[in-house]
Amino acid sequence: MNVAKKIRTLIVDDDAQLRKVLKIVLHALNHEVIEALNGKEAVEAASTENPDIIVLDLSLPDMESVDVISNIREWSKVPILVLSGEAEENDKLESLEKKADDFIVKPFQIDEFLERIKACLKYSSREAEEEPNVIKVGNLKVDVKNKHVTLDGNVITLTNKQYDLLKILSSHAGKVLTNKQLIRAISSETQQEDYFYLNNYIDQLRQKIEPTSESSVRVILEPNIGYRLVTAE
Amino acid sequence: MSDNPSDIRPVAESFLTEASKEGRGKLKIFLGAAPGVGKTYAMLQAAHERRNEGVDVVIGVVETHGRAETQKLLEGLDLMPRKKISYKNHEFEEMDLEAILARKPQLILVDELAHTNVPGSIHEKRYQDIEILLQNQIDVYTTVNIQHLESLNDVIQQITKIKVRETLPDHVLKSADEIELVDLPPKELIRRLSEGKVYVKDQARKAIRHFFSPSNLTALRELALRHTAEQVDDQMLLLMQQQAIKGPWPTRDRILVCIDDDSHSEDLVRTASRISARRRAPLIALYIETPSHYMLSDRKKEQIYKTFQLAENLGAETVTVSGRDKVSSVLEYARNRNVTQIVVGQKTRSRVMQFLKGSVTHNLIRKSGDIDIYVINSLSAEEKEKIPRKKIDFSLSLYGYIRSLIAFLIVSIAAFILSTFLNVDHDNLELIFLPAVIYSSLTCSLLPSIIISFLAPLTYDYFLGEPLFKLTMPLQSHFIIFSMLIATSVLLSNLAKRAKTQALSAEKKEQRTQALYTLSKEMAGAIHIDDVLAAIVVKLDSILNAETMILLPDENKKDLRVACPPEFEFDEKEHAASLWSYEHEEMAGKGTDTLASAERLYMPLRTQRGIVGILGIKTQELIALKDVDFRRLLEALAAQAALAIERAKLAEEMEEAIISKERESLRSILLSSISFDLKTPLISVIAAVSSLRKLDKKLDKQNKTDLIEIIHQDIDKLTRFISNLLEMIKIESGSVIPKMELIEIKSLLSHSLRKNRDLIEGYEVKENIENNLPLIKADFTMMTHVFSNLIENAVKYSARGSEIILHAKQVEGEVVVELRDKGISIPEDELEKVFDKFYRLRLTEEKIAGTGLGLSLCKAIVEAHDAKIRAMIPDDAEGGTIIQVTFPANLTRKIKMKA
Repeated sequence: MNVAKKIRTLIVDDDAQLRKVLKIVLHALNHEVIEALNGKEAVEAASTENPDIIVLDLSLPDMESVDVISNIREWSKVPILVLSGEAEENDKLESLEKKADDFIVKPFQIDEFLERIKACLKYSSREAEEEPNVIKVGNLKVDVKNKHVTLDGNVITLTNKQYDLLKILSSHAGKVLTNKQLIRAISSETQQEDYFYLNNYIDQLRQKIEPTSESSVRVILEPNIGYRLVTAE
Repeated sequence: MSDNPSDIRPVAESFLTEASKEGRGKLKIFLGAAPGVGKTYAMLQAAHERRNEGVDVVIGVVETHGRAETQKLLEGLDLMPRKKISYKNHEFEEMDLEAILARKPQLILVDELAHTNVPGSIHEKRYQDIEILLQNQIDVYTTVNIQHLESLNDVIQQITKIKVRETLPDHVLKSADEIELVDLPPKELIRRLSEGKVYVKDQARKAIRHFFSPSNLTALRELALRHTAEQVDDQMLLLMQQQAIKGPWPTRDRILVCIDDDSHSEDLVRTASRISARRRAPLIALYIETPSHYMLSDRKKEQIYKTFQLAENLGAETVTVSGRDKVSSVLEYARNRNVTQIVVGQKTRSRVMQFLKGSVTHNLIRKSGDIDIYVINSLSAEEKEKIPRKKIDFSLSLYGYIRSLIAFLIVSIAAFILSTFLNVDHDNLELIFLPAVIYSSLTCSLLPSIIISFLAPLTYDYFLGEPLFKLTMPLQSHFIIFSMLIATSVLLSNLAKRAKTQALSAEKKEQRTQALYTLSKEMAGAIHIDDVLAAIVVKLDSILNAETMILLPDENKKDLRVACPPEFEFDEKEHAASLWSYEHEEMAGKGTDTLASAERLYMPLRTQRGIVGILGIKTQELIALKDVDFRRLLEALAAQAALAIERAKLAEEMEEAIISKERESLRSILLSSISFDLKTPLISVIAAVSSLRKLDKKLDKQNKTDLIEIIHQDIDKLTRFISNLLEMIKIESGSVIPKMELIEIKSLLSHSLRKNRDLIEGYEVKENIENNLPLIKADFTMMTHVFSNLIENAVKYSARGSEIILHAKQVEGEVVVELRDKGISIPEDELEKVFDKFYRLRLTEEKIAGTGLGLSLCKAIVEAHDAKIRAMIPDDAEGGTIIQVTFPANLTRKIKMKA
């Protein structure tokens, strides 16, 4: 990442204390922080301040956050990380459907938060470029051109469906993928797989890419939302 | 009944049944009462007979259970090999249906109709196999015991205490073309059992011994016999229908016995009960309540009650019907209930009376139509003597004689005046006595009017007729007048009596209606259950002239408690009687057959949904409790009371449901509020702490200080919230009572400010406290809590640097403390709501933690002191909010100025 260029982060939350913490941390990590207290300010800042990423609280005092997301999405692909409360299960899914990039549940540890920020930024910056030929996640290598997968240098054979799953998960490593997105990735036009099968395929895939409990990559379940491929530390 | 066209119409249907049987094999069932009666033996014997006739007989399945004589009968008959079916590692043998169908014999023997096939067979049940055989025009002989019949399952279980699992649908037995009952007397069967001739599985030996008791076997035998008889009956019915023979079809009897007010009725009920037992028909005891019922003596009424009791004990249904004419009422009721036989007693009436009044029995027989009438004459000569002769009613009061006499004197004087002074023709004067006779017979009774009738002609002759003061008229003319007057008086007095009787009857009914009406009116106003109970008890006491009480079941519905009147003493005997009544839903206690030594009559209060309680009645006269009218009135009142109690209970339950729902929703609001208030500060604390831990190298010193400051603030917020919460819980639970002491306002306020010096830093705090303020009586710690909260609120809702003003003054003996900020004003319509628990103002865009509880806690504390708190909008243009706490005069104490 270019160190000289500061990342402009817009934080939208009505909790002043949390904003303060995030601001201190992001500043230390060379971000430039813009703050907004409500939805109206958020939409305004998103259009005028040209942020690189938006951190958006799910419960805003003035408007529905999903409306904020769809408003911004009308004209911008800026990555949006949603901060949600535990009770906001449905809103979480809805915000992802409205094309927010990822979410994190409050209260959160700061490193988790920074991981998400990173994943969101990476994904959006890569989209501009061409898709890489080889995707690396931890010790896992996915050679997209040759459909060739290795883990720790050992070749692993996957069925077509497993490969499709792994490909989409690894190319969005760190970022959540909804069940819908995953199903779309492994289904043919004519045959729509359902959630039950997805679950099955994930289990099969897990057996191959995380043979031990200390594997360097892991597929994590986000209950009611989808899955996420992460590198274990 | 035969008049019912629907009983004739099924002709077409019965043809259909017959038609469906055509082209089928014939089914013959050998029915036994119990295992071991010899069904299989009988079946094999019959099979041999058929074989000798040249019929192709084959044995499908026969269980001989190793009995030699049965085994012997197998000889000479073709035996179909059985099919082996393995199930759960065991091999079972079942009838080979396919092989039989291929063999196609004319007659097949299949033992044990109720048998359940091993899983893996074609059908689950053997009777299904048999159905296929019949469809293929193969005749079937089979055996079954009565205990397997589906409809008798529960009866059998009651009799034998054994639950029969292999059951046979009734229609299978019904569809049999022939049933042969294989009968063996119980003693014989038991003998065979003891001789080991009855097959019994080892493990069931013990249970079976109980099963084969003489009483069980007798009962089972009876069931089998009856079932066969019924089947024969049905077949006869079917036959008659097919031949279009018109009813009656007396297959199901219902017997009605008419009871009366004499002791003879008891014999009648006993006789009727025997008839009903013989015919296994239900019995109804009927009493027709004619208007003259109300003229009956108490002894007679008690007799009716006794007869009813007897009938109930004998298992009869007892019914009272009101009606003017006995015959038509009885027949109308009998027709409604499809009664087939009516049992009546023969009334001993003289021929003359029969001629005059007509005999009830004769009329009944004449009009009964299809219903059979049994006339029972069981009166012994001795009993006949006991029956008192019907007397003419001479009984009357002295008052009646006097009235009659006065009436007579008046007309006599009138006649004297008319004849002496007005010279009215004497021949016409005789008529003047007629009004006196009429008056006397209508208002008094027969005897005085007869006396007048005697006196009238004599008086006329003696005082009025020429020559005066001499009886000169010929005897026959006296006699003519005399008899005319007598006839008039007899007729009229009878008429009057009947009118009186009817009036009395109407009056009684009116009283009953009135009583019900007043009760319902009384109860309509009562909503709460206690009011309803009180209303019932008060009203019933006055209506019944008795002491009533109501018992309600406890929560487990196991026991009763006296619910009304509340201060009631209840001994063990009464408790037992009431509980019995509750458990059996029948009357108990005094005047009944159950626990009659109790002081009260206990009566279940029932509605359609079940029993709601027990009514206890204490009355002086035992007679009253047995009186039919009293009972009926009581029942009607009890029904109404039960409804009212149920209604009140339902209302109460509904109210409770609403309250608990509200409580529930409040609790959930509370919980979500608490979790919100606890969590909000934690979110930033966790983020800050994890930053300090994990990003140590990337943060500079200033960053770290800032993060720690945030953590400090949030934890402070949390602490305040939690202490408010605890305080609130203490006050709400009522466990904390303000510790009143005399406090100086000034020190209270400065203490509160000092406690919150961190918060008010940067604010311009102004204290404006009047001199010579009285002391207030309050709990110092609690009041500090109030003002701390108020200060915190003021800080929260106003900008740093703005003014916070504390103002304390004395207004008409009261001490008023006001705290004003110059921040955001509370909207006028929300001024009161801010004190509601967990009400949170959305005045700013930012989250302000803890505000949901602070003001409501202040209010709770202030009100626990009997002081007042309110929010106001300042009337100047500077904005902000004033919170005013007012200590009333009784909480203040003037300071005595030292000289």
